Amino acid sequence: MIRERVFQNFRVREKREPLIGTLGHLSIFACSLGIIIFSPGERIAISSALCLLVTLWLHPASIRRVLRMRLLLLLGSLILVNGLWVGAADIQIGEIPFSSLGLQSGVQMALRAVVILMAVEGFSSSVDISEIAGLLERLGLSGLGFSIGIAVNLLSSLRETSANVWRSLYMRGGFRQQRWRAMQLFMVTFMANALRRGEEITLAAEARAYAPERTRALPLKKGCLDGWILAGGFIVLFAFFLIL
Amino acid sequence: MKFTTRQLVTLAIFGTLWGVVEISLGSLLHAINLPMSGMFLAAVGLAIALLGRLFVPRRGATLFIGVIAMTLKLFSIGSVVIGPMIGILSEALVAELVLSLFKRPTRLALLLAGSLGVLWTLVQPFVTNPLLFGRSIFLVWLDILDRGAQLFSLDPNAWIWIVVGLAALHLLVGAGAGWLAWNTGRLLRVRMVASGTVPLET
Repeated sequence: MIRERVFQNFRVREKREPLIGTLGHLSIFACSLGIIIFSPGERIAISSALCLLVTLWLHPASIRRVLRMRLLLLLGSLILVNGLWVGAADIQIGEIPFSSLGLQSGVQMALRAVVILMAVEGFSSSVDISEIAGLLERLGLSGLGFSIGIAVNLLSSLRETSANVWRSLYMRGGFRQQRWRAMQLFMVTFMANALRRGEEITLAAEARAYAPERTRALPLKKGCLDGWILAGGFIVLFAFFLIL
Repeated sequence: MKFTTRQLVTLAIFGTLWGVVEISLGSLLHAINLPMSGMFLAAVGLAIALLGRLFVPRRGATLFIGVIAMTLKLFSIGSVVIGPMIGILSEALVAELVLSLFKRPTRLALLLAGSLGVLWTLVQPFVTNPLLFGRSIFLVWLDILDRGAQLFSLDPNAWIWIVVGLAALHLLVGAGAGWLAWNTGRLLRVRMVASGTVPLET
């Protein structure tokens, strides 16, 4: 009786499969890139509207990256520069002559940039770094998951080591004279420390009986709609190619 | 592409170093809008990757380092990442192809791989700009001529000299990266043998 109840509780707490998994997110990303890259200029508005709608629906937070002032200025200047210098001036906005062809080309370039940025942002925010490693491992780069795991953990340690080496050299007046030599010493000391740390990691991994040839690729997150999204992506891409 | 545990760790170290350079220095150079920052970044990154190849002299090692650096860049906080990501991967691929022509990584192989890898940064806009942003190749060409003319203080009409100058500059900087990698590798080996740590696969 008790066992049954425990089992029932366990089943209630069982995690539900997410709607979109790694493959689904990858399909959406690849489909967005495919559509926007191969769309001709006259259809870019429809293509980008479709891609932006899908990205906004799935990753609403990705719009934040595009709404940054620096990027908006960059996109604005892209349109302006094209309008001013590409093609013959045929319209006038205020006192300044613009080329409608240039403006059109600038808007197309800006739209492409926005779609790509949002697609990358949406993909990187929804997929874990280990899932990317898992995907690449399945493409033939075996052991990549292990290496990326080490790389992520090494980031802070390497930063600390570089700061320590730099400070040690600086405190001993290393950069006062012979700066090139000091830089070389900095690099060698830093690399030697990093490789020694690598040796420790190798020993630790081998002590835990890690062997790349016996390791399975990192698992990918599965979603219930992955198959449908993949099929839909193919159909949309195919339809776009047919229309174009 | 099968590596041992030790090789995977070594590749992870060099991949992280390239990734750190791309994340920190790349973002800084991008923010201050320094001319030829792509060439400079490629040279530093390739020097690290080539140094990694000295420690893991196996086919695919340079590409593996590039993939790690690219993945780290993808998850970094910055502005536009797709261009640098393609750049990292293609530079690593070019270096890998050149190094694959040699049995072992020699000084000449490193110089060639560095030169051609850095030269790719000059060619890359002709591939990525039309594909990703729909920019015409002619505009990319004009942009490069303009930058070259400013850099060498030449008339933009002297396009042959600008192109030759830019290519020579890229090749020279790339060769410098290869040379730096070779020399640092030798120094490191001496240092590690002296300190009693056996260098990895040298």
